[in-house]
Amino acid sequence: MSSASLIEEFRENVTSILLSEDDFIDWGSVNGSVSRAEQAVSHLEAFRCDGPISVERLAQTLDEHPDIYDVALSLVAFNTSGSQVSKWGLSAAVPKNQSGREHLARQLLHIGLGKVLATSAPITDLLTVAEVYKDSFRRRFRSGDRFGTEVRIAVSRAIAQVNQTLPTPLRIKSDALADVTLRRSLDYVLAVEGRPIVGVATVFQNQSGGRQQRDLSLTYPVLQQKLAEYGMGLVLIADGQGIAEASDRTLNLLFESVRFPMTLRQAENGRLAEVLLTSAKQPAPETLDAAAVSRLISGALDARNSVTAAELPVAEGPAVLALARFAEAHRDLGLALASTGSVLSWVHPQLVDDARRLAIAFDNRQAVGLLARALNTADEGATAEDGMVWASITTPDEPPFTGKMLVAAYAAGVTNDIRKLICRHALEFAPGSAFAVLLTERDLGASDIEAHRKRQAVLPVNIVIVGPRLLRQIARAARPVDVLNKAVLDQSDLSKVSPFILSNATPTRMFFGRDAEAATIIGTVSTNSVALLGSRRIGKTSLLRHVRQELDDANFLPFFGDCQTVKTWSDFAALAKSQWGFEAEKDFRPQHLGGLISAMKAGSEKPVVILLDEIDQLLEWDRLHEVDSVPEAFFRACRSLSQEGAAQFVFSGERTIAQRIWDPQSPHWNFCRPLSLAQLTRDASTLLLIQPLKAIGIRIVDETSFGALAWRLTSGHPQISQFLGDRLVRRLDSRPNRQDLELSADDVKAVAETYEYAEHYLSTYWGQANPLEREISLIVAEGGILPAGLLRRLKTSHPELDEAKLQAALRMLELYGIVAYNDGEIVLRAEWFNEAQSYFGGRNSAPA
Amino acid sequence: MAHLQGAVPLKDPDYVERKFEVDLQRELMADRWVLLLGPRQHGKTSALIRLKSALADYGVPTALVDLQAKPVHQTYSAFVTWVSDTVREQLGTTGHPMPDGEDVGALIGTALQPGRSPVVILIDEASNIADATWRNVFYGQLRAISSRRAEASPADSAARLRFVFSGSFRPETLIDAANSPFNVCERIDTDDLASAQVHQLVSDVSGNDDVAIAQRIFEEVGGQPFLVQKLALRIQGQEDSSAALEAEIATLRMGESDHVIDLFRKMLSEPGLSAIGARMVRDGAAPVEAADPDFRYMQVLGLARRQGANLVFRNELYAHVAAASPQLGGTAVAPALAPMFPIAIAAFGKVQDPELREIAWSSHKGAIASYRGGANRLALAGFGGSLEAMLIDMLQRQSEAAIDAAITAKEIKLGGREKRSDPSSWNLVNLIKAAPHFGGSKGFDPPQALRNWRNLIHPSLAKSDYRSDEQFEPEVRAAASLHEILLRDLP
Repeated sequence: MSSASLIEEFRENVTSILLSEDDFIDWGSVNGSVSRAEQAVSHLEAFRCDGPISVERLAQTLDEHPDIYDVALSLVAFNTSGSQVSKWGLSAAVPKNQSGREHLARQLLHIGLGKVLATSAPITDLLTVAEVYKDSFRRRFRSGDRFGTEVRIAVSRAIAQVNQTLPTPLRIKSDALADVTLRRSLDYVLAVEGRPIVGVATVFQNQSGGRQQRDLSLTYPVLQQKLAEYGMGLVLIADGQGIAEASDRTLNLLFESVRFPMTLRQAENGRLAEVLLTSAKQPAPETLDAAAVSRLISGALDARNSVTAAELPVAEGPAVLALARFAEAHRDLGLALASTGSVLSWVHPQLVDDARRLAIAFDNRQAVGLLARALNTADEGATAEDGMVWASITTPDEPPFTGKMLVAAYAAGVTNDIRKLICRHALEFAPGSAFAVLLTERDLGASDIEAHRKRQAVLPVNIVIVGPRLLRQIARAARPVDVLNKAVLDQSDLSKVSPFILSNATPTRMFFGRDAEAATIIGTVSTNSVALLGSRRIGKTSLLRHVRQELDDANFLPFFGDCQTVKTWSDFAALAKSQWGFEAEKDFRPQHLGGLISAMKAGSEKPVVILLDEIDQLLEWDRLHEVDSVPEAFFRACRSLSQEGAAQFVFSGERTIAQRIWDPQSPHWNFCRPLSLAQLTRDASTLLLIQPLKAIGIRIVDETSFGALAWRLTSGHPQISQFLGDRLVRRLDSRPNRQDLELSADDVKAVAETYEYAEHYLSTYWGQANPLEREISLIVAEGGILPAGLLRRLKTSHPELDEAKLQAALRMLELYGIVAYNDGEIVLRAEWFNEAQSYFGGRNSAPA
Repeated sequence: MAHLQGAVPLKDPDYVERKFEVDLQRELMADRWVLLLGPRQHGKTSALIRLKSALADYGVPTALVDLQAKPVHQTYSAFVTWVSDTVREQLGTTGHPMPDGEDVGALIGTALQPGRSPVVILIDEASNIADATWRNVFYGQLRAISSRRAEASPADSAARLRFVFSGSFRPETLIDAANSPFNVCERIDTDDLASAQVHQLVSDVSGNDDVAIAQRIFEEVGGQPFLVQKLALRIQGQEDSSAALEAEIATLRMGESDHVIDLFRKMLSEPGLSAIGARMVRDGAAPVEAADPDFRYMQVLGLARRQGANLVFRNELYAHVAAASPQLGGTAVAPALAPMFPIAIAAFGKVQDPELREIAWSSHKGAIASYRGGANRLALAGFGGSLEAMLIDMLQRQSEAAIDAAITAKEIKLGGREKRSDPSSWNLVNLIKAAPHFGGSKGFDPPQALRNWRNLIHPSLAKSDYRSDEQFEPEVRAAASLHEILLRDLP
């Protein structure tokens, strides 16, 4: 950001007045004082009205009502304090003798009490004005305190926020700064492990003037200069009308010479946390000499592959220390310090040499070989084609890498034809990889990056351009894969590297928080069958697939069947053939199921478990068709086989199976153990959102508030959590600077406060609900309600509704995760439901 | 050049790329399946053709299956074989062995070239499978491919296939929700042309570079590509472009266009949609109800767009037509003919006797055609006939006891030819009298005026209180509106 835009942003955030009404005049205190003086005022009023104002009468009144003295002093604008009163020759209290009272009365009239009382204004009003004047002396402390309090809160919050991510916490530690004079100029000294990194000073200027301008253009720049000698930055929190009126020249000077100027609002809105984080991450500062030595080490490593202590222009001891300090400060580089400490060299000198050579004379084949070696793999099978060399290489199998990656090299850089060629090869030889690498003799410039990212959107894979500079970084890195990962995030269309699965069963890497349910199923199927009940997209299929694997490991003989297209008994037979490879009877009927299972068991001692996903359609068919006048023959056959122990079943479904299992009149009421699949726990859903983001190198600012907001917005629904995650990744796509990608609760809020998110939320939670269930949810959304009250409310629109039907509807809504019971009351479980509704109207509402 | 029918050819230099096309390719390239929904004549097919070409450039084999072009098949097996053959032909794998069976997933799976690169299948006009059973099986089988993706190996067809389903339909009702592949898709809606694109297109099509003309077109039809081209064509070569344009707009506003007729017919044929349309006419906007597919479908059809929490008509033209249409309760004064539209026979679904349903529907259709043809007496007779068919059907569904009760309650006096037990023998006057008795809670109460209007078909009655045919035009508007209300409230 340019200095001009920083200043513009600073000016936009200046608060000219920080005070509330009570900060300026403390009316509570003023009115209290007036009220307490009520009786004295009335005596003084009587003195004024009942006769001429004279020394004698005033002395007499002071004798009879000494409480009028304080009021009298206030009226002549004394800010009553003993010493101040005495200074003006007045007594601290009403004298006890007559002459003393007369002297006091004379003095009071002399200094103006008579003139004040000669006005026609009521004494109460005069006293009120006088109390306002007295209050003005306290104002300074109030306003100063307010500003100070807000700064203190901002600093504390920023520290808490950055400490979420720092390996070593940042703390307020005044004595970390040895210079006491400098310390006094600062409000806070912030340190990491005792090393001061930042000083915070504050200035609130109500007006602009010579002194104020000087502070900004001289005092604080000098302070920064002095702090810099300790390697510290100065955070100057400046605000007030005086700052707003500061000239451009003054602010230019301030911004040029102070490291981190900001307003209070900017500090509160994240700027402070941002600069604290940046500062804390900076390596420890060096003295001038140390910096020079460090420069020499860096230069030597650039030019060749090692540097010795003897080469440095300092004594051996400091030279060895300098090498060790360099290695410590550059942990991201692949450096090795000899055991004597006297030689520092590259861990992979050949890679560094090759990268150096390629920067001078680029060679396609060598570039591919270099990258492969840096990633600790080989470029076997590198192929030359149309002037390009390419190879498929092995990578880590962690996001965003997928185990394989296409690397191509073409010195002249990317062209449309090269893009096409790379995409074709990447799709074929590194399927599933979201990106390929193109090594060229020129790095992407700052001006190229936007257009490059935009073009990625329509390519089948992202093409990450790696020029000599980036290749050198990779060759010199302690973890080359991290450098490449950063480049991927920087250059990619991020929707391709989004780890979130929106529409299908989730792979193992995204399987979170279903351990208890999996254990229940596995624990049950030894002796009984299970009905896994859950709404659409809640994760039934993912759980069943996971359980199948677990059953396999636990020495069961599991068979998973996707029944989405199974609507009849014959369809089931076709499934057995296509998915399990077992031919059922030609005209398959439920009574043939036993024979089929015997064939599947084929002499194995392992217990057979049949997992049937999305069973609702088959159950519906089964309900409507009979064998020998008996309905539900398929389900009955399953039951018999389960009771005989020939096989156990795990069914998953939604409404149909739930109704069969829940209905006490159903012959299958007691057949399976029902297991409702609800939303994830808070911990699991937070992990599901945050872990994949972090895995691809996205930092989460303040995970606590991020997770808390995400929880409120999803209530733990796994699909909605993944949708939110995907949209967050896409949101990053629009960031011009992707060097340190991070997401905060503000981003979560920005994603959620959209019609798209509200629509997705409601269609996921509510999409399968029938009109009665929807009406119930809307009533419950108004506030908790007892079932009886709910029934009464619904009777008008649904006269036929009875308790049983209501209970059935409530059970479905509970299954969908929309409502829950709390002490017998029905309450909303989907926390964001009402807010999501606010994005919509309704047939009976007026257009917004 | 303008393209008012069919897709815009691949090499047309005037083709204007829209945002949804980039979004579509982006989602597909991010390994997502896509549901592309949008109005008819809104550029979906043109976009798919271009997508196919672009993907081929990057080495992504792509096949476009246009279900509108499918021949009539006698069996499901023949249908999926045709789909598979279409894919094979475009992927160059016609020689691959074809397995037995009816699973389209398996058939397409064997149509892929060996390898691991993605293959894209574009299913255009995805709703165009008339048989509901076939439709459900077909899409269920495709959904099953998606379900396998989580565990599929890279060479497995489930891992390689990516689908785009395109059309102008209701995804939530086209097939059973449980086995719908649309549920696993990223949804993309087509977008209109932007103002600058309209200007460019008008200039390219008409040769007229007048910004004011383009602006006027944009004001009237927004960025609806078909209508923009239609208006642009109309001014091509005209000396007074502005006058020609206004004349064409006036014609469109009377509903005199297949495009407008088709849209309004669809809306009026579904009570849920026409209620939303009527609300937009009455209040200028209809608040969107959460998770209600009717509101979504109004947008898919192209009639409405969302504005904040409300739906509004997508452009001025549709708003004008609706405001003047008596069928939507519109009271705006139409310059000549009020826009009136035939509706689908499905809209008469509450009429249970199939013959009476057909009679009611065709009478209504005749009424609309007569009005549009300038024959108002015939139009009134048509509306009356449609109503009479609906009433007979409703009364025929009642028990004898209920009929007796209605006769007593409404003091109906049946004439000599009218049989108590056979409402089809009743005069219309008595059918109308009896109707409110069975009207349910919605207050179904047809007016006798319809009967008078219907009787104008008899010359002697028409002559007894003679008015010329054109003087009955307001009555036709009222009758159309009444008919719509009665059809909506019919028990």
